[in-house]
Amino acid sequence: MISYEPELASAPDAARRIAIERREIVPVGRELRALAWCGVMLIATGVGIIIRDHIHDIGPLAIAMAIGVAAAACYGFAVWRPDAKPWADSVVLLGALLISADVAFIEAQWHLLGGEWQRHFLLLAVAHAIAAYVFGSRAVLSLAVAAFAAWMGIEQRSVFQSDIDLAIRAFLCAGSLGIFRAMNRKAEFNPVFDHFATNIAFWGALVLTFNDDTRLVGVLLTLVFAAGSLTYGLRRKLEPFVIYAIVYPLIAVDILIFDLLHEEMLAAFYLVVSTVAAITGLIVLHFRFRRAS
Amino acid sequence: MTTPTIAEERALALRRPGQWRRASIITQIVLFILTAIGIVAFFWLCDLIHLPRGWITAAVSIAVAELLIQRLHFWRTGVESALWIGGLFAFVVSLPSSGKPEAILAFVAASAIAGWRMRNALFGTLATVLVAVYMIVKEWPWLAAGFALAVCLTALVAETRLWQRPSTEFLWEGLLIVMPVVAYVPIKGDVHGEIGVPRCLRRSP
Repeated sequence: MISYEPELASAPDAARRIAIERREIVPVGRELRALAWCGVMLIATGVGIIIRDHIHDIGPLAIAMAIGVAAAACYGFAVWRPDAKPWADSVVLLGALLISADVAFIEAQWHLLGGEWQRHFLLLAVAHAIAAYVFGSRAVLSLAVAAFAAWMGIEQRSVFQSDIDLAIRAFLCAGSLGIFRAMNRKAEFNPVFDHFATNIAFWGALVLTFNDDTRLVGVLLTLVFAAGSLTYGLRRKLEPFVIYAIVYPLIAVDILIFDLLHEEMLAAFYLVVSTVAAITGLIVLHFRFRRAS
Repeated sequence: MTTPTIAEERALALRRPGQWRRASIITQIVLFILTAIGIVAFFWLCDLIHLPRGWITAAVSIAVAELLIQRLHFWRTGVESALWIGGLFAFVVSLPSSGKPEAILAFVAASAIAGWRMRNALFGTLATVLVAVYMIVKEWPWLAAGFALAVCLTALVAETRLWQRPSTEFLWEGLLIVMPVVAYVPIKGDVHGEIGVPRCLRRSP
């Protein structure tokens, strides 16, 4: 074991922190939250395994109803005990995951949406978004955004028929998330929208970079997004956005240069130089960040 | 050899200002991955220009790591750790391959040296795990399980002592968490419940 008691003597809340060091107080909130999260994931996985292994024994209708009742019970618990910390958030997440599993199972069994099966992602996105706002859960909001992105990724419309349709879908998805973010009135949800929108926009630009015909446009877009991400990160003191602004352009420029260099030795030399430059840039920005904060 | 003193290491763990520069966990992970990519690229470059790739990569990586530690006081930035373990692994990879399980011991030594120099609990744990992997590959499942349990019990006893360095504490914690799982692997080994070598680690006859 280790004790920081000597260092904590001069801390502002010394008495409480020293009590923790002496194990007179044992905070378990973080551990309980982690265990609750692991439990949710295990239950969700277990439900999937049970469905797979016992679908013929139990019957599809019984399975669909049982999962639906379990999901309703989770949301019911969250309504009944909204301040049941630290596991209330995990129970809501479990409810959302069970709803996802149930909708997917019902769709796979009875094909209610027919050829428009991909719309069940949109349905889930709306359902999870409502739950996220009602219960104030960022984890469920992440599920909603992921379901929305999945729907945008596979929805079939004429606008998506070009060679670069995946990139267009990514940009549309990022733009939509930007609009949702502007409409959002829960400040704690803003980071979820920011991170999803930024990453999805970068992925769209990288898709263009991977495409031979649109490589240059992809690189330019990546650099534009990187400038935006860097500015946002530095202004708001949010380091992940600075990391995005270094890592994504590195990937895009590396793809472009590798395409131009046909000599293996030059490519290897370039990779060394570009990686060292990225590391140096990241370190300089990181320590600048630390000095500022 | 420049290394943070006990007081400095404790101050680093408490995120107090000092002469050593550390990065946040996310930045450490990103920098570690980028540095690893850089080492692989350098190894590839040395290979292309027909230089002794292992020796040169190890020498350059360790020299740069020591420069960063001793001149710029980098500690737990991800870069110096990646340079140390990456350089040593590059050297081991460049050695002539005999296909014998003893090659694992070279990786054990590399991890242990990097872990000792960087006082990195993850590298130390990796070295210990690789020793057990070596025993499993040698088809000594009982010895592997016994070794893992012995290390685990040692870590358990060590955890009852008061340690001054956070890195030592993290090493015991890492071993305590990982080694029971490692002990389980050779016992689980065979799907029929017999004690033996897991199929993925079995050598072909």
